[in-house]
Amino acid sequence: MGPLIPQGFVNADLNLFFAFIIGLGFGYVLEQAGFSSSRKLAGVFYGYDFVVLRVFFTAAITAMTGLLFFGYLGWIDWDLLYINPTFLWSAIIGGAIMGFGFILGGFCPGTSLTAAVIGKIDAMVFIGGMFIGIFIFGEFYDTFQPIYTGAFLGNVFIFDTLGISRDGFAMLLIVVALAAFIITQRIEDKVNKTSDLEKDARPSYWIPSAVLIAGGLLLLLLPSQPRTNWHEVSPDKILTTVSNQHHLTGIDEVTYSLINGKDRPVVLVDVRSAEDYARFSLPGAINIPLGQILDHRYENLLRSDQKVVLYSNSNTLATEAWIIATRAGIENLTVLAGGLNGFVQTIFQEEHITDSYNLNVEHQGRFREKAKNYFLSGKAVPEKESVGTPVIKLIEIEKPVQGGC
Amino acid sequence: MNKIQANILKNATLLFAIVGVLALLVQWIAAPDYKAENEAVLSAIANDNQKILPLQLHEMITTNQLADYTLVDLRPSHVFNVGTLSGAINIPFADLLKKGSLKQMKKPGNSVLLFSDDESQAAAASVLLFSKGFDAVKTLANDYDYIKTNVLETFDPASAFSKSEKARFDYNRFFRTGGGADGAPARTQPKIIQTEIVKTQGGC
Repeated sequence: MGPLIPQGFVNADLNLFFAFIIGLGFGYVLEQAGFSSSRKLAGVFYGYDFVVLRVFFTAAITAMTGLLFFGYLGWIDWDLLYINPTFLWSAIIGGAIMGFGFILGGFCPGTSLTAAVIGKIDAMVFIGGMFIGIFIFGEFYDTFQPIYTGAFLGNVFIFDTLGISRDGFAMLLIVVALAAFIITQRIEDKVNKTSDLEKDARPSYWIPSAVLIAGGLLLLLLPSQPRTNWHEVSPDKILTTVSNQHHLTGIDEVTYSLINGKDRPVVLVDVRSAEDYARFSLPGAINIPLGQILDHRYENLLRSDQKVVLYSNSNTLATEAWIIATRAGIENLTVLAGGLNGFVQTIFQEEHITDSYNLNVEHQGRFREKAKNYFLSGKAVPEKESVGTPVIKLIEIEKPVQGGC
Repeated sequence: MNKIQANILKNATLLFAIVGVLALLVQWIAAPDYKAENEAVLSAIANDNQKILPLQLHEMITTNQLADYTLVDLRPSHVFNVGTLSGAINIPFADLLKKGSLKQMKKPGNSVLLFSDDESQAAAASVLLFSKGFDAVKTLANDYDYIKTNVLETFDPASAFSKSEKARFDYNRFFRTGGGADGAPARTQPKIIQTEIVKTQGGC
């Protein structure tokens, strides 16, 4: 579900519910388009009815324009879209089988279900045949496997092969689809010998067509750099925060939570490289190298309810990471003032004033002295892995070998 | 019947188009004024050549390359007036994104070279300038006082590769557990829990 689940507005467990709603809509559209009638479906091969072609072309260009537009507006995250990889042989053979079955049976897998639901017996037989086919394929998978996974091309795009831009290809596809509508209508009229009276009674579709063409043109003309990221934090706000140093967390606060982890938990994030992290990290810290700070895997972690403190060897790297992540809309982040250098300098290198007429200074000195001994004795490093171990939850997206209908 | 459906379609498409254009306009106006995408900024600052180390600065001064840069001193103006790098202009960090300041820095053909009394402030300024559409922004490693004593007055070769991000201590010394044979502390690795395997499948 678009931006809602990744952004955390909607619980990911509702995915199935949305799939159900969309499935209902899809079934309704298929049935309303007349796709439960095999006569209509096979018509495209005999030239008397091109409704299949028109519906699928309409669906394709409408969905395409909408997707490109939503992507431009930042409502959809392209990275989360699953693109079917190309296996050349299985695509060719599967396509041939599909077309053959289409003419013979009069259904494609999706439409056979809609037809079966309204009680067509041939559709039910069709579904039965489908299951037998699947069973045979499964039984002889090892035999078919070289063809099935052969000639793997990865995610190839037509517009890359043609050497044109994505938006240019979208425009081209819209024009081709609209031309196909006109041409197929002509063929249909010829085959069916439609009278002029019937032709005149037909509604005109020039407004939807014009809107689609305008949408395609708009996508072509809009600057490629989206200026529509409304959820980002403004540069002036970032500048004010950094120049007032409100993005910093003091060393004492981090020290306190390292000692009393349970009372005041903070999430420590090490933004240095993985090698530096492997050499040393603060107890309980998690490694997110600067280059991966925008990675979706870490988003929930950075958006934690607890205080998140970024650190590196000094302020520099952590501040850079802070700006990038804050701009992306993650607002509860802070930077460890002085970084690890400052931390070690303050806690371990400096002479702590434990006796002063100024109580604040004295308390601070005593606290730091205590912390120093605590850290040196190794108590801050949990002995068992189960104590305070940070957890990264992964939602693995398993790519299917092949999908499609 | 067909006519009615066509009318519904017509009105729905028009409504959809109007909503789309309105959303575009609203977002265009509401969006903060950035010129470069966040990902592009991230890859720009990840570039190693973006920070100029003392050795490099020393070479640039001796070979007179500094003229190719718009030198920007980000410190407050009262310290700027006391002393600065020759040829530097003063833009206090808080005024960095003011229109006048951006105009001052944007000279065609020139890279911007930032420095400050705090390396992280100069780095922050470089990130903001990248996101404002500058494509060549560099920062001097270390703060101004360090540069002044170790590069400008007399070049100290020991400082050639110094930068704030360098680890100044062997941190492990301070957090050792004492139990390990090699003295390396037992550390917690984040536990990766596979919570869910989502199978994606296309099809209709």
